[in-house]
Amino acid sequence: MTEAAPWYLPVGDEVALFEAAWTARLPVLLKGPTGCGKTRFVEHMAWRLSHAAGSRSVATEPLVTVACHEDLSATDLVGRYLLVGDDTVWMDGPLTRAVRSGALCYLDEVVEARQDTTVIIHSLTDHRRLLPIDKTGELLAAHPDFLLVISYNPGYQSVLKDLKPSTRQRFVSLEFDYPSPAVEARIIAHESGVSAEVAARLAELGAKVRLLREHGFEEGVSTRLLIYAAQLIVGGIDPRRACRVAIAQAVTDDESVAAAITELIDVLLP
Amino acid sequence: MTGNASRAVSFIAHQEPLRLFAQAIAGRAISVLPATGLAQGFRLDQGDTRFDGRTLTLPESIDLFDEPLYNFRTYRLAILHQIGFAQGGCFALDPQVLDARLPGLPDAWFDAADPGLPLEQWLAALPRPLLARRVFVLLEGWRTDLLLAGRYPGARADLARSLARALEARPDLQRMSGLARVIELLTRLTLGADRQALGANSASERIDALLSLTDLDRRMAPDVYDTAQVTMDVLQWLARLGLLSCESGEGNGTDDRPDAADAAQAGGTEPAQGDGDDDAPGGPALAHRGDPLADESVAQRRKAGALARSAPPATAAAAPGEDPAAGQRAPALQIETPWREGDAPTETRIDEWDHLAGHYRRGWCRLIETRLHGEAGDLPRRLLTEHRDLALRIRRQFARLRAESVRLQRRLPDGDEIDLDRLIEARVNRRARRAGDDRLYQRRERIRRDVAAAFLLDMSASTDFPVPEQRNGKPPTEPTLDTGPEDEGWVYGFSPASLDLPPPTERRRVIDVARDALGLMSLAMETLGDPFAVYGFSGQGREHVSFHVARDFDDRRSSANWGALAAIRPEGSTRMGAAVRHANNRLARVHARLKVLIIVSDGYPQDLDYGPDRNSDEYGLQDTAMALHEAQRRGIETFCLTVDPAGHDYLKRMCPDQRYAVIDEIDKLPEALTKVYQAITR
Repeated sequence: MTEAAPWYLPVGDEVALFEAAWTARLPVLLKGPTGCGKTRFVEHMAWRLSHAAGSRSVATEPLVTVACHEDLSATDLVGRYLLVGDDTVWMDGPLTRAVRSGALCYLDEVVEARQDTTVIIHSLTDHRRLLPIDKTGELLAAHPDFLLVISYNPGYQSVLKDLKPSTRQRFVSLEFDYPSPAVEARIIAHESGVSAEVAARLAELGAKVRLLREHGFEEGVSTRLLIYAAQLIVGGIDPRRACRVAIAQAVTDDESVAAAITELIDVLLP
Repeated sequence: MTGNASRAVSFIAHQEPLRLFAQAIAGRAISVLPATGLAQGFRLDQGDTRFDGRTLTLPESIDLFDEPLYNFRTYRLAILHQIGFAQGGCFALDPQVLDARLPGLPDAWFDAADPGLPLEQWLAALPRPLLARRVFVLLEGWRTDLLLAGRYPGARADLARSLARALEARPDLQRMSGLARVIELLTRLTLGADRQALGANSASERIDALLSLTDLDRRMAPDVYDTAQVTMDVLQWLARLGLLSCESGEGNGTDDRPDAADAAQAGGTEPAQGDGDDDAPGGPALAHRGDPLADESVAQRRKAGALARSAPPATAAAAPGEDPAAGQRAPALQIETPWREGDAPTETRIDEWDHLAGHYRRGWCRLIETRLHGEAGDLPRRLLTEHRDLALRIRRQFARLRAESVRLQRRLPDGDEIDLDRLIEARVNRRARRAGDDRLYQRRERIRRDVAAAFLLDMSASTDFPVPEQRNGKPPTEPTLDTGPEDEGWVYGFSPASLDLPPPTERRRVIDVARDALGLMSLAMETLGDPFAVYGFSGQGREHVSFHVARDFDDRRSSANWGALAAIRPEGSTRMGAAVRHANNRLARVHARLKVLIIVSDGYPQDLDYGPDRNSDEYGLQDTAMALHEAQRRGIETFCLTVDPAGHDYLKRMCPDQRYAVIDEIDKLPEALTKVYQAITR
């Protein structure tokens, strides 16, 4: 467990909203593009809530994170029998561990997971707060402090996958986006240690690159990539070179777009 | 511009990256055009660079410097300056703020009913309006450069280089006098000349006073009202010296030489003489500064602002100079669109990509969608007679595709179930002290086909041409398949054994082969169960793009589908871009994991007004390429099939990588179509 709170700079009222949802044990859905701070926000809130007065969680880790992918099944979340030596042993999956211990369970990019995970999500996210474990015959009631949080990136996934309305309407939705340049500059400076002036330049670069987002890269450049560039700069790499490798070459393979981003880098950075 | 051609940088070579760069700097989509692309009447001698808020015009080529990189960066500098100038606020001057910051302006200088911009009205209210305009443009250009240097540190070196080159090219100051000399001093100041050196050159303490007035570089964050104030200060200073009212031959209050003519051309060495008429508009023709207040720019800006508030026209009017009747010439072929009551045609405006301008022409095409109806006649029977074996083979292949819906994956490191066979094998290996495999699990994976497909057929007049004769005069033979009971009753009760129609005697056309291919494809799709649609397109100009629906996604299987296919006939031209975009829109409304658009054509995109040059196909190719690119961005897989032997030449540029095929023998089209579909959707 981390000693200090994971650093997070609020952009709006998302902290208050999440706390209110948790108080009422309402599941939360985080919507937003990649690299805009959703996971860091969840880490911060998990720490914050576990240290809040009245917390009854017995979890050794306040947050259980599962990065969902297209091979992730309900079995992976709930658990399975494993062969240990000559014995067959039941092993709780990450979701079951969180449900038992009262941790916060974060399913990142949940629409990537296979369809059979929907059944589990539904039973946990209504008034029942139950997790059926078919293979053991157990009907597990969630710990009072358990909360399910999912994330979803509508811009990336809308063509191939989407959350069904019956799933979406079980969650309180918090919408995330890339912060304003001023806020983003503070985040970049804090996360990388780069000077405020360079952070401001990187934030302005990010804002301008995002204006090209309809040209082949749907989400623009993430705050994460800007932080990577800043970290390279702190590590001694020339600022323009750092931005080219961390930003221009990362977001697009289109030659014209990459050339335009390179020109933006050249004029914005000394 | 003269100079070594190898160092010159042309705009066209870098148009797209420059356009994207400009868009990012401006914060919105703008057009970027070369200067030669403008309408007649554009004055190239006043600088090729200007921006009216929607379109940025840049020189066709730049060769100011020996280094090509520096010439390219001058383009970049021009974009920063032009957009910066527009963003600086001079086109959004607030009359009330101007009145507050500049006390002493003439009463009622601003008339809200006047269509002119506040800036125009203010300059017009000043003494010697054109001189005032020149001074303002000089100072505002200077202020823009100062802000540019602060905001874009990476462009400082380019700016300094450009200004230094412009300073080198200035005319000899010693040969100037009077007003011309003053303007030249001001010009040099805005180009970064040293104040002290300028003052020393002038040998006049009054020039020192002028230089101290023009202190924009010493103010903290000067705005456009500061520029206006300095403009007024300069004009007042000129008035006190008697230079503002000086006419030809009447003396100028300081020197005996008459006022100089406009010294707008950089590099000019003519003596600065003239008749005192310095009212020619424009200023120093710097490549990156251009003339931001050129009449055309301001007029376009005014027009752009007004047009932004109005709705787009329902029909396109003839452009100025065009014969209004030009768009109404009789079509070469009469377009028949058989439709019934209740299936009235619908109209939609479709965008078109203008690769020359680098932007979309919004709502450029009028697409008319109609539903096809006809009599099926002997179409289904003829299909199963002429393509009996192919039809059966396709049916079996597609039936197998449908059956592959649940797959057991074995030998997995983890899974839903224990693979007993592997478990036993592992135990045996352990007893035998052999190394084992720890992949002991298995999983049943349901593979659900979730595919939707649209087939888009080129119905242009060229498909009316006959199919080339076979080499030996005999139709190609297909391998014979044994038919079984499962093949009976296929296609509405027709069975292959019952068909004994005589072979066709008419010369087959391209459209007939394409229709047969789509008919067979339809049978295959009904076997597979994937939802699909069949569309056709043609047209006569951008105001009449025809889009025909033979079958739509929610149509049920019926004989009406055959009737619609039978109604497909050749007509018109091939405005493919609009048709692809409309098909994209229809596919986008379908819920499916995988969406496919397959285009069947016999030639390249062309139409009577598809681009400015009727002899060039490039415009249509680029528009269609963009439409296919849009499809990809929307998650639609595309594929182009053509029977044009020259298809390789243009499809490799028009289509995404490996997403096209040229059918050498047209009779192979039906089989090729089904193979393509299987490959894309597997």
